[in-house]
Amino acid sequence: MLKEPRSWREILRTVLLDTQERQRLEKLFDARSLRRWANGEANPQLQNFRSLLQALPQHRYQMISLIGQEFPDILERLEISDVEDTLSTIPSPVYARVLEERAKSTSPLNLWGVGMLVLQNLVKHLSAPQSGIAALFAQCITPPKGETKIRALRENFLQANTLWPTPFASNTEPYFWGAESVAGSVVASCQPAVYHDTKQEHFLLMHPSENVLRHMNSLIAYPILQGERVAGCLVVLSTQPRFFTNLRFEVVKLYSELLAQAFRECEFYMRFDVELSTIPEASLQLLFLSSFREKANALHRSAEQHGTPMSYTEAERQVLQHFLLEGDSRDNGSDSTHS
Amino acid sequence: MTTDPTRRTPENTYIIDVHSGAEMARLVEQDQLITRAMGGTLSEFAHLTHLETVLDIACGPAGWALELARQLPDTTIVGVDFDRKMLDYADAQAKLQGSKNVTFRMMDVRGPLDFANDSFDLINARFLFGFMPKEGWSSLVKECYRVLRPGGTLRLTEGEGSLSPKSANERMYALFSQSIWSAGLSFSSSGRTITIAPLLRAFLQEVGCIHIREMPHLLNYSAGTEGHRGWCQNVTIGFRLLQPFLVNEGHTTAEEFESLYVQMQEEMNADDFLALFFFLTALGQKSSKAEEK
Repeated sequence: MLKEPRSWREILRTVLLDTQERQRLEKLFDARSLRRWANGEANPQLQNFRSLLQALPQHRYQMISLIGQEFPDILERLEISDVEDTLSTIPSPVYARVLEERAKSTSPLNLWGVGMLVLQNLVKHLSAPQSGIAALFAQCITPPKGETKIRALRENFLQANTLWPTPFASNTEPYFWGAESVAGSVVASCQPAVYHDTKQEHFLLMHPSENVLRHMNSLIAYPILQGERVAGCLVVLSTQPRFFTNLRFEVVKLYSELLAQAFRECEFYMRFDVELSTIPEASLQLLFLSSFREKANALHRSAEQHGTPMSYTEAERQVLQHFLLEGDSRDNGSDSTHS
Repeated sequence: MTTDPTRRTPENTYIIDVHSGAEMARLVEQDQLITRAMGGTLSEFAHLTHLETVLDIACGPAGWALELARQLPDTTIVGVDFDRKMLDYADAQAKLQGSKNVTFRMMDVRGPLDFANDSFDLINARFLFGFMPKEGWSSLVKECYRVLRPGGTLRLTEGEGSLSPKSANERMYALFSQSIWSAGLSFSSSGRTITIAPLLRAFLQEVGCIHIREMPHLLNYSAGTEGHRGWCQNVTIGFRLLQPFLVNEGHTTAEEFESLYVQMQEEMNADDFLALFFFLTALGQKSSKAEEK
């Protein structure tokens, strides 16, 4: 985490250090006034406070909080107190809808509804002007019969706002995520992770798709937990660097707790059962995905014909298991990450 | 006596349980997919700055209205729907989005619209066939025309279902068309098709709209296409939610439906899956006072 700014003036000073940002703000405000505000020599008028908050959407929430510390009465006069409350909590109609749906039943349909409602609201909640936001859930894949270890995650519940530059779910099959990924690391450790600048070199893979990597600039990954057990990882991406402030981190935490409602008890696993394989690089994975469906269909049909029917989901698991074992052999030994 | 939420009643003619969270989530997703397939919220308009007031009929969770509110912060948008919970949810979404220019009102659009004459520059109605009895269309369009400002635009969008050479998908859509027809929501003479889109122009002409245009839309969700994953999910969830309606209308049994449903999904998952979804937008203008002279 970055060191937290101690005042809204410090944020303004930091912004003004960036030439482009300074030039942009000087088109909206008097340049001398900006310097005087940043240095503490003068205070903005009420309208200028409002305009400053609009002009700095990526710092809005932090600035609101810090402005309120220096000028305790101003938040009410700025008429943003209800917005601030909204932005730091999940609205009650959303909670109501999610919990109502969960209470009805734990059928796949209801749970799908819960997961989608949570992610749709999360993306909307975090959407800020000029900020593309996308979110996905990478779910632990139940091991095939006879196996006990979680070897991979699979993405589920994709969502993006309209400012995300390209269709987020452009691949026709959901990706797999393994030990090589941020999501895999978070599931294995059951600890959240924040990356303020994904363009820097990182040991872990942020996302399998080059298309997504091109547009992503910051990322947060949060484990979905029930006590000490984990169902998967919520991954939220932003086109803006340093998007995930403390306040947004807390918002993601709240949504991750709500997202846990989208899974049955049996879909949570103990940490020691998570032993993720290394998923092959994206080009190999796409090759596998292009025939994954056909192989799963063929296995499902073959099982029916041989009088040993299996569910379609079980067929998918077995095809994936085979792919992962092939991958392990290719790498001349296990690449599993032990939790 | 507990009311079965999946049963239609004279008060609630929607073909899916309106209080289902899965249906709400599906509608939000569908809104995004359809808007993308249409090229945007109002892709037929070269300029949107003239729009001061917009009404969205049967807005549901208001995906379209909220997106428009985000794009046009100076435009006042009103969404109406008969379901209180949907509207509360839409309202919460508007607050999350920080949009103060969109509000929601509870209203049954099968009856008179509770607005003064000449209130809106644009009225949007998208996919009403899921609840609007065929005898209700004429009066709805008349009411829309009344509350439209002179020079304003009435925009109607309706779907005609999907075409696929795959047998289970084809059969499922045939069941859907038959059920819509027997429920009195379609203008088909036999129930073989949905048949609302061909009437949109006639509805607009009947009330006196001028400059009527029709814009066809196509969503290809064949295997390997950009639309495949999202629309197949919409179909999968949608038909699961439609099961009570299809069985209650009597054109299939629970057993037949389950078998078809599994087969439909297998077909959609195959590499050789082919399917298109067709829908149509018809727009008409209310004559301005200058044009009347």
